[in-house]
Amino acid sequence: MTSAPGINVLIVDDSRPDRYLLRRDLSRTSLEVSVQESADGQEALDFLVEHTRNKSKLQHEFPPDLIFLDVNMPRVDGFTFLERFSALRREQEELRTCVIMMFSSSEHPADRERALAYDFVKGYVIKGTTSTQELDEQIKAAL
Amino acid sequence: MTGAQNRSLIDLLERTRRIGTWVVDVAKAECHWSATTYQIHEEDPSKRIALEDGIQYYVPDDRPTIERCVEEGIANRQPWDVELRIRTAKGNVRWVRAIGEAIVEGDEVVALHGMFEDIHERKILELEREALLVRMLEAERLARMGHWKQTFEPDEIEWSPGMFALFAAPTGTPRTEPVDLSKVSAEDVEGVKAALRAAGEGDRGTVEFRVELDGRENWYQMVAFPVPGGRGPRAVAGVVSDVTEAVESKLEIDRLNTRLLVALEASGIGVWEWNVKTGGLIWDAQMYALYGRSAADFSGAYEAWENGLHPADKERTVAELQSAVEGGEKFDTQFRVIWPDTSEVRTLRAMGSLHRGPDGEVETMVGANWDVSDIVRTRAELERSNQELAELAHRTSHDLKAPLTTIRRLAAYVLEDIGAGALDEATQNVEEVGRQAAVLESMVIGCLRAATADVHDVALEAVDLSQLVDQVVSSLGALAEQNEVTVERSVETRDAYLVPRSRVVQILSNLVTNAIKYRDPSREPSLVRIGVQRRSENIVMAVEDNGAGIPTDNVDEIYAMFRTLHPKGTSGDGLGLYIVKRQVERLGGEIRVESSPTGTRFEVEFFARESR
Repeated sequence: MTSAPGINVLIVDDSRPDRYLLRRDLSRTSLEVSVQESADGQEALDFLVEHTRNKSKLQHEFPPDLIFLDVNMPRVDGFTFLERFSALRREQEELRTCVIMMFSSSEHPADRERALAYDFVKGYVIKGTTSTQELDEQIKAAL
Repeated sequence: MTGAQNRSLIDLLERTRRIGTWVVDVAKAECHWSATTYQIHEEDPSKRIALEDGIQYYVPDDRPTIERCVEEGIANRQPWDVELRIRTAKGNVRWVRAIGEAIVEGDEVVALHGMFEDIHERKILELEREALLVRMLEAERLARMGHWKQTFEPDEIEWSPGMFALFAAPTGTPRTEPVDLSKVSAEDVEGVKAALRAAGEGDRGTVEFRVELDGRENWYQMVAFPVPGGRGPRAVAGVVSDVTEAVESKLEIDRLNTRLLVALEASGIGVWEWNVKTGGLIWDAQMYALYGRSAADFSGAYEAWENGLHPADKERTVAELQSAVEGGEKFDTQFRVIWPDTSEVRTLRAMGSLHRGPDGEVETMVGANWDVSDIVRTRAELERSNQELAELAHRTSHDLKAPLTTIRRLAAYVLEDIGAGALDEATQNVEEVGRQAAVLESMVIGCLRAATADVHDVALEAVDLSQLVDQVVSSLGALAEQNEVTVERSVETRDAYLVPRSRVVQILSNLVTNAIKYRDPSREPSLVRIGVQRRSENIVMAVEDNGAGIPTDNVDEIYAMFRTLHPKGTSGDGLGLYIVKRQVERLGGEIRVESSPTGTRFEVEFFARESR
């Protein structure tokens, strides 16, 4: 598995411990990941815009291949992010390869449906219920 | 006067008054009748009549009387004057008056003579009058009535037996007053006198008065009136009847009615009667109150009731009433009415039942209305409360689960780190576990706080709002200081109002706390402004800040449970605005919010009465 390609991941979640846990979970998968974090949707959008303009900063760690997106967040929440990301994606060609996996504690079927309605949303992970093995498989399926 | 003159005078008398004469020759036992006597007997004038035959004309019942008269007349020279019945030759029974006496010559009675008068018409009238009187007196006795008559020239008073009974006086004792005033209750004497005076002056006088007999109070009614006397002496008469039972029944009905009215008023039940045929509707005072109307602006028509109904309930209610009338069923329903002046909506329960006339046709519907708004509201509140309980369970299971999951997962990594000797990492994670536990704790405490806010009923008390604001500001002084926030206040009303103090305090505290906590540190100085003013019947409390504004497009979601617009675990339990919203609802008020990136303004408006 050493030949596994490195992937760029952006974690968007206002809960610091949840970002930490996901980061650790990812480090235990077979994937080689490089992780960036944002504390809410606005910060994530700013990050994407900033680095689209200024590619030299992160070099090969940008753009993210995969975004883990929380739903309930201050300022710009998960759904608002999806909306704005969808618009941003139309403008920025390089973001079109980027897929999103929802990462939430909400098990509400309505939330899941609403998120998966976007074609770039490839999965819905409920916090604390997914084993490393499953996470590994879901990421591979999404990419 | 000559014998011939006498003769013709007697003839005249006989013709005009049908009075005949007769003579009986005692020795020959023969009767000699005049022409009129024959006519009265409807007998052939040529027929010779023996004494024995003459007796036989009397009806068998009266025959012994005339026989005795004749015997006594002969033996003791006793004259007689009797009224008896004869059966004429043609078989007709007639009343006659027979007057006779003996004619004596020397010591001997030689003849009997006398007069014979047809008194049939008069006698029949007299007998009828007597029978009528008997019947009348019997009726008086049965009906507990009496009558009296007073003449003035001469001054005489006559009482019927019924009067003696009514006043418990010995029958026949002479009377000096039409009514025994000594037995009339002192309060009623003037009334009785007035009625008598009225009759004396040619009017009818009616009076009800009390008479105490054997320690029992009786109610009598008297009608006194002038007696039409033609040219006879001036007279008045009166009829007195015992109306004790009627008066007592009426008093009893009045008592029951009063009790019913008190009960209806206390229970707020209004009573109505609807004439199905004419559409006329009668309401009692309570009904007007239930519909928020006054008797003056209500036409009394069925249409007015219809107009009072809530448009959403009108069609159904009218249909139900119609089917109750047509199907002869009981009317039992519930509907809303709108008060015309205040537009207040009340829910009324209505019941009615049909009453039929003697012909079996539906005539009226009588029913009651009462206000069930409170019950309906309580039920709605209960339903909402249940719904919220379910929501609470749902949300708590999700929102409380998040920090729990984090704790559980961190704990797993702590174990792994300890095993791997990564003690720094383990320490950091244990610290995070502590922070997550604190978040969880504050959420649980918040839940309890929200539940308490809901459950407790808070009494209204006279509150000086300026003092209340001072109290809230001072209790948050430390927080404001720590966050370098200046709190300004402006209370524009000095009156005291009746409000549930602790609810208002909780609303204001939460709003001010939020305004302080979510200040924009880049702005100096950070300001929170509290304003209180009177707006018509309402109190308006505003809390304004120059913070960063609410970071959401949908302001309604800020009131949801556990909704915090700031990073999880950093501040707040997500219940502050939820509690504010609930408390405002409890006050029957409204909360509004305006927010922009330069600040937020919350405004709470609720009705409050001035305390006097």
